[in-house]
Amino acid sequence: MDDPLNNDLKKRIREVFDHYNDEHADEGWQLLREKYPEKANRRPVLWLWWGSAAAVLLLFLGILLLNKKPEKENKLTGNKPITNHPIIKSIEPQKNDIRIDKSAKDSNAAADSVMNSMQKQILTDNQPSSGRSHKNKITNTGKLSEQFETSDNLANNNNSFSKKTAPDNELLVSNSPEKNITAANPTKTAERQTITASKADNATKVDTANKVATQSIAIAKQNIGINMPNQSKQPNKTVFADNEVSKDKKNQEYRARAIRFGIYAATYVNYAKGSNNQVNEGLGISSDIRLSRKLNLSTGVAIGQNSLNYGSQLPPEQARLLSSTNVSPNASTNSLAAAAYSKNAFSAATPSLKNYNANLVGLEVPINLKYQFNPEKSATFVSIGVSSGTFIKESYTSTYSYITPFASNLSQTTDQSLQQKFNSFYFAKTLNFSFGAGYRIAGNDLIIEPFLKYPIQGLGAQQIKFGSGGVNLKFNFQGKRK
Amino acid sequence: MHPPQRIAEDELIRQCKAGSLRYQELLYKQFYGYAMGIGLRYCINRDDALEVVNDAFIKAFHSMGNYDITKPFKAWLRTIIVNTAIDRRRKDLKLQLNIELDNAGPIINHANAIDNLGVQDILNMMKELPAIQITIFNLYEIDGYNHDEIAEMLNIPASSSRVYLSRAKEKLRKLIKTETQNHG
Repeated sequence: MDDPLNNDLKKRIREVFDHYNDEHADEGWQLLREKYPEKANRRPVLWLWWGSAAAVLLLFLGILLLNKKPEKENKLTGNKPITNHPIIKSIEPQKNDIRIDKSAKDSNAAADSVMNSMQKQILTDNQPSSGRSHKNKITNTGKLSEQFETSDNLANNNNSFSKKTAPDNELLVSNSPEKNITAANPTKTAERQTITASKADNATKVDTANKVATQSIAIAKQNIGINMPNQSKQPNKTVFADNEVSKDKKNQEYRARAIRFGIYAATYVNYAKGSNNQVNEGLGISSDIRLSRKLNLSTGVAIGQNSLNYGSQLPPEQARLLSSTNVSPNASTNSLAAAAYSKNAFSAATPSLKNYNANLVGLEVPINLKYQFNPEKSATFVSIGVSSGTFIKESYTSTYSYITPFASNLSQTTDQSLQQKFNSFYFAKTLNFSFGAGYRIAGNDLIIEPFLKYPIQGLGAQQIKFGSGGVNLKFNFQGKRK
Repeated sequence: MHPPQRIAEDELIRQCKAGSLRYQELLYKQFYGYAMGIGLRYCINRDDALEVVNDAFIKAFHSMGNYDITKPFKAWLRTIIVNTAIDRRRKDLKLQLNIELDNAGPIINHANAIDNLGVQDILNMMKELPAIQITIFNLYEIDGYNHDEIAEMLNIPASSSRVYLSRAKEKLRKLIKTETQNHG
């Protein structure tokens, strides 16, 4: 702005507005406070958000801890998690041996322990009646032989298992050098152990012990990298080991799904003594937390409508209450209906109950134990558990009519209702049984689950003992893999 | 009536960074006049200016954590207010881009000599200009943005920014001259 006029103007504008004085700051602040801070308005939402986040976090931590337990045991061997491997299971009591390996701080200790366990398995399988004689059949010196000596008793104890897993054992352990599988340890300068496992003649007939041996060799090879110079001599074993590994991998993959979420819609009939059966619907979300291969803890949250219609009767619980107490017509909303029903209640008119309705919208948290028959192949299961929860809305409506004693054709109908929201929380007052059968679609399960909910105690403000039976149509999503 | 006690700017900002609502209120009240001055220049209307100022303060409170305490707070706040005002007026600015430039209204009656121009006089003059012109005038002449920055802010070519500025200045010059002659 070269023009002096414009320069002056610019200067004047700056001067005026930079020192602008407005005394309405308080009003401005009040206006600002309507928008700020947002926290004030969103506090309940935030609370819910943080609450949900904390719940989810706790749930996942729980799952994580459940899954970590077996991993800890595996860490002792310095190996990858193969806890569920049959061999590892069979040698669990021999943790002392593994510790001996660890104390030696040998990087190949894990390999040794797996090989040792394999040897032991073979030995015990072959000689169920003479646990100690296996020492003669294995050439093992130094530390490794020590291990065997210390674990003799344990090996003996495993005889029963051996009998189970290899009833018709054809695997022989011998010192024949031609068919040896040598687990050579390059870092160890000490003695080498030689495991000889001669294969059965009939290649198609494979016994359990053989499977175990080959599998463990394969795992040991895969995980630790043991030199296996004679491996090429036995191609059948390698192929077999590969198959076994892939099968095991598949199982591990399934096992890795520690939690599975699902959604479901339920159609059911509410039943209660004295009530007409009413068809209702509900929906919910579920989560299955894996406890073991076949056992899951199934929980979630569901919302559902429950309605009961007692016609001109009162629920037995109310009738009992009425007979045991002297009810005044002016006492309470609920007892007004009871009083109306009472034949003794008589004032200017005689009230008679025409209808009694209970409507409860329930928020339910079931905790069920779910047993899956064959989790790898199908989604068939049975489950049993209990439900806790609350009622979002309870509505009890009594319709009764007054009949004038001297003009019986003149009657008046009146509705009396009691409504409550989140009145109380009930804990484990419903017993749940269900059976589910479904189809697996790309890892997800579509399940039809007939169920029965049996009331252990009365529910809601009126303590009505009601249950339900129906069918859930459930969709379980594929769990997250590790 | 005693003016509200002035608290050191550093302390105010430090407490605001910590999220103290009380200090945010003090900061707001301390810089309210300054902020309104900027808001008025861009919005002309007082209610609009107040909304812009409040929105700008809310933004400032939210991003106080990013504020570099070594730099002048006023400049930082000014940037936020200017951006908020432009965001708010963006729609008006677009609409007015095609307005005929020489459709200025009557010359203001209350302005005297430049030195005697008050807030209201200046605002009355500014009202006579299309929003796009007064915005560019404010951005370039008062707040010190260059044409490239203005072009980016308003999403217009830099050459248009120059044109609008020169027309705004021309118009203001005319307004002042005419008024001076009328009162002279």
